[in-house]
Formats: sequence, structure tokens, C-alpha cells
Amino acid sequence: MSFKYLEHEADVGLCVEAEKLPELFEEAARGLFSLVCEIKEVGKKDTVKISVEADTPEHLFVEFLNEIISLMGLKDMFFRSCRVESVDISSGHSNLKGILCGERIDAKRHKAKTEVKAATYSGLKFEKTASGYVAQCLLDL
Amino acid sequence: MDKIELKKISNYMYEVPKHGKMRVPAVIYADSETIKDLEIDISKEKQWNALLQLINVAMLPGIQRAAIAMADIHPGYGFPIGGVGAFDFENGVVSVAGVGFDCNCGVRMLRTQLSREEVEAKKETLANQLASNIPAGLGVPGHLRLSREEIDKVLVQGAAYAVKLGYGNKDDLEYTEERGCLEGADPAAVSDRAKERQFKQVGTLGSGNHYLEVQYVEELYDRDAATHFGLREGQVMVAIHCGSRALGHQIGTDYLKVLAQATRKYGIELPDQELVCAPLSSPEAKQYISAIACGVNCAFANRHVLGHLTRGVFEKVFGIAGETIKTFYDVGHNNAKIENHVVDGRQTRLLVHRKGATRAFGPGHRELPEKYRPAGQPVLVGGTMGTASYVLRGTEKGMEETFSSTVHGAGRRLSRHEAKRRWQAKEIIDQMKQEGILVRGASFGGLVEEAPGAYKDIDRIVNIVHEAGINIKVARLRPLICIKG
Repeated sequence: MSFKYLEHEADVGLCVEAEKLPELFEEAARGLFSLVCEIKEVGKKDTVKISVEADTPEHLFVEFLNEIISLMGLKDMFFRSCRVESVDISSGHSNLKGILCGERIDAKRHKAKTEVKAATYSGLKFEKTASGYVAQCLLDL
Repeated sequence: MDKIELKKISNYMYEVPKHGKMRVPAVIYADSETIKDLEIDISKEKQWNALLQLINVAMLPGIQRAAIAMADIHPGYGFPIGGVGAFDFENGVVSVAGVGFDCNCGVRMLRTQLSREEVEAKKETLANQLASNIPAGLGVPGHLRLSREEIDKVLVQGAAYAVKLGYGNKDDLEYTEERGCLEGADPAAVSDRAKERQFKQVGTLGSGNHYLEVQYVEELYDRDAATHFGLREGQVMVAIHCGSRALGHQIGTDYLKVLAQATRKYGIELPDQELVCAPLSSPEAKQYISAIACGVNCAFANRHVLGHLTRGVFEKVFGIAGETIKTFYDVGHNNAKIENHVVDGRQTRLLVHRKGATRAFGPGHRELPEKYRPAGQPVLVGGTMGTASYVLRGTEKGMEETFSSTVHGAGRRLSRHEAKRRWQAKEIIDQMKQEGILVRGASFGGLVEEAPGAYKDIDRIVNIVHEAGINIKVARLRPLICIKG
């Protein structure tokens, strides 16, 4: 299970690999959190439920990241981890439920890094591989 | 990858002729160095490739004349940055990728009566006061707390509503694109979530490449135009670069889904799924265009409030009257707007997408403030924090060739990660200090990402559009203070 950032002049690509589907999304969330702030400084005392659905697994991946971006803004929170409770991409109606852990933004204590505006369909990929899954998309910074 | 034919039309204009699924040619305003860089990217088969993105835009339904890229072209998502696409209302489309997730990101420039020397004497104090009074950085709220009803008024009335709330004045509106209020905004087209995310963000700079800079006019090139614009050498100006903040981000996210469904519903074939779009005759397009107008107005209001806060700081630091600081001009560079342009000899109503491209009306255009009309529209080109910014003016030629569009900045040449690998925040701050520029940043990481070396040479980029005749250089400005988001 790993994530890596892909080079782009203005923005950044996020590419994630994992054996299992829940791990894929959890790792994607970690990749996103790590771009936004120094996650080791973020506590885990508050939790927020996340629930997304989409017509394809690719779009579920983008929806999931965009939902996290929206929740950060709505709740004024930085997140540290994500636990996926269920994810289903077997039908034409992909969906995911999970829990995000983090805390309210404290400008004095937290080290903010980059604001992510949105996850896009650019470079979007969601594939089943011999060892699991790989997914990627471009994040607009 | 097939070799792409890049035909030289002139020293500063190149064309990819229409081929394959392209409906129109792709035109790039560039010099030989820019073209070489684009060709290298093609040969390396880079995943995000600006020239291929431009060719993809040329494949969209209803695109008129050409998909155009400006001299600051670099990869974006769907559209390249510096990309312009104009679409007719019969067959054309609207696309999120042509607007971006920061609707009406743009620049407001304020004109002070202070000289460089006067500001130099109090530079440190001014930098510190600006840093503490201008809300900047990720998660930093603004001074305003707006209710749901007030947010709706911002979306419909734009900067004019900020004036009603006691921020700035009506004179500021005269010198703002669309007088700070784009018609057709319907708050019902914007989700509750987008509005909720904006409650505390009106009047905030944000982060990333957004900034507030105190600059001085270093050199004038077109003295007649400078007189019309009220610019003189040594004069201190303030440039504010930001957009529609979280509201704009959420509008983009919401409509990406809507337009993905519309693309399927209307059977539109696309070369890149980020170019999801809706026919301009469809309800989805009408709704999105209304939402864009809301985002545009929110950005105008945002820069307007920041302009007001900046005035307050100057009043306090220099003991001057706020009225002496005027809005010079405010213009966006991420939007899709309904405009009339001549196509095949006929005035045609078009939707012009400008993704990282600035509107640039030529002399005499009735949308321009009366004082500026003889010279043409001021074009505000943001440079890098260590080099320079420019004021250009629009020309007749630009109106004919580019749907009145031009560059918006220097354009990035290095990724943010590469910038972080190459430089440290401290060395950038020290180097800038040596050059007489004070930098204050909300985030050290963000500062390094915006290192001057991560951008192309602004002088070269501006020279391209000047030599191509789509703009005329009016003034070069050098930074004195830079507040990074």
C-alpha cells in the first residue's frame, strides 16, 4: 500500500496502489492529507463520517477526494487518517462509507502546507492489477 | 505518439493545422524557445502535456476559429493554462476545465500617490501591518461573517454589495471588469454547501500562488497610455491576486459531476474526460453559466474587500486619506463569459472560456471606463515575487485574433515538488531581501513552491504578446513587499 505524487507544472498528480479496495481509498486519503498539512501534528480526537457514491469506480475515487476537500472546509478541520468501513464497486452504483479522524485547524499548532482546490478527472485511472488496485488523478492546487 | 506539425505563422505565432478530430486549428502565441519546450514535452510523452491539451480543446463541439494558447502556456487539466476557447450558442459547449476550480481568479491593482522612497522609509512596518491585517493562508478566516442571505446578495451583486456593507466605494466599481457585477447570476444554481464554505472566506487571500504585492512603477514604455491610466515612474501600486475561494472550488466540483452526466446524456465524444461539457442550449449549461456568474461576482467582492483592508493599512502606516488610493483596475483570468466578437465578418454571440488568460479589450470598447477608453483595457500581468509584473493594454489586433484575450502571468516551468527540491524558504527570503523585497508568507512550504525560479521569464513572455501586437507594453513594476497566501 503506497501513494506517490506525480509531477505536473502547476498542480500535482496523486497515484495510489493497494492490495485491497478499502486500503486504496485510505491511502489516497493519506496522500491528500499529507499535501494539505503536516499530518503528524494533527490529533485524532474528532471524527467525521464520509459517504460518497458515483456511477463508476473512477468517479467514486474523485468523489471521495472531493468530499474530503469539502469536509475540511466545512468543518475547519485537518484530517490525519481515514477508515473505510465499506466500499462497493461491483455494480453501476459504486459507493463508500468511512470515518475521517482529525481536529479543528489551529493555526498556531498545525503546519499548513498546500490548499487543494479539487480532485479532477484529468489523468484519471482506476484499474484492477495482478496485485490489487491502482488509482490516480490530478489534484488542482 | 505521432509527430505533431507545428507551423510557424510568424516569429511569435505558431499553428497546429486542423487534423484528425480537430474542428479548428490550434494557435499558440509563443517564441521559438517556448515551442522547443512544448516539443520536448511531446517527445518525452509527458502525461500532462500542454500542447496535447490545446489540441483536445480544438476538438470540442462548436469551437470557433481556433483553440488559442497564450505565451504563458503550461499544462493544466483539460484546458492548458493560458488557454482560450470561444464557442457559439448554436453548437457550442461550456466546460468546467475552461473555467477551473477558482472561478474569476484575477488581479486587482490599486494606485497610490506614494513614491517608492516614501514606502521604502516605512517598508518594514508596512509589510508587518499588511501581514497581520490581510487574512492569508489555508484555513484562515476573513473579517466578515456573512449570513446565508448576505452570501446570496454577494453572488448576485458582487462588489456592489461589498460597497453597501461599507467596504470600498462606487469609484472602485467603475474600474472593475463588468463594474464588479456580472449579470445572470442565480444563487439557486449554487449549492448550499458552496455557500456554507464561503461564510467566513469573503475578504481572504487564500494560499498557493495567491498574493498581495506592493510594487513600484520601474519603467514606462507607452507614455500616452500611462497618462490615460494615471501611471508615473516611481509610483507605488498594490496588486492583489486571488479568486472566488471555497465557493468557486465547490462550484467547480459540483458542476464537474453535472457536466459528466450531461456529456453522456447528449452523447458528446471527448478526447479527455476532464473536458466534460454541456451543450449551450441545455438546461445544465444554463445552470452552470449562472453559477459561474455567482463565482465571478464572489471573486470581485473578495478582491474588493481586500482592497479596502489594504487601504486601511496604508492610512494607518502613512497617515494619508484612504481616498487617495484608487482602484486602478480589476480583471479576472479564469472564467467563461458571454461576449460578442467578429467571426467570419459577423458579430457573433459567444461563450469565451479563459483558463489562465486575461480579457484584453482594445481602444474604444464601450465596456471600458471612459478614462481608459482611448488607450484600451489595462491588462494586469502578475509576474513572480522576485522579478516583475506588467501593465499592458489591449489592441484592435488582439480583438481580431484572440477574442480579446492575452497572458495572465509568467507561467510555471517547474513543478511545486521540483521547486521544493531545489530551494529552501530561508534562502528565498534572504535572496529577496538582498534585492530589496520583503516577503511575508503564511506557509514556508507554500513560499518555496512559488520561488521565482519556478516560473518562466516574465520579460520574455510579455515580449511575445507585445511583438505579436495583441497587446502593447505600458509599464513594468518591481515588487517591494510580497505577502504570500
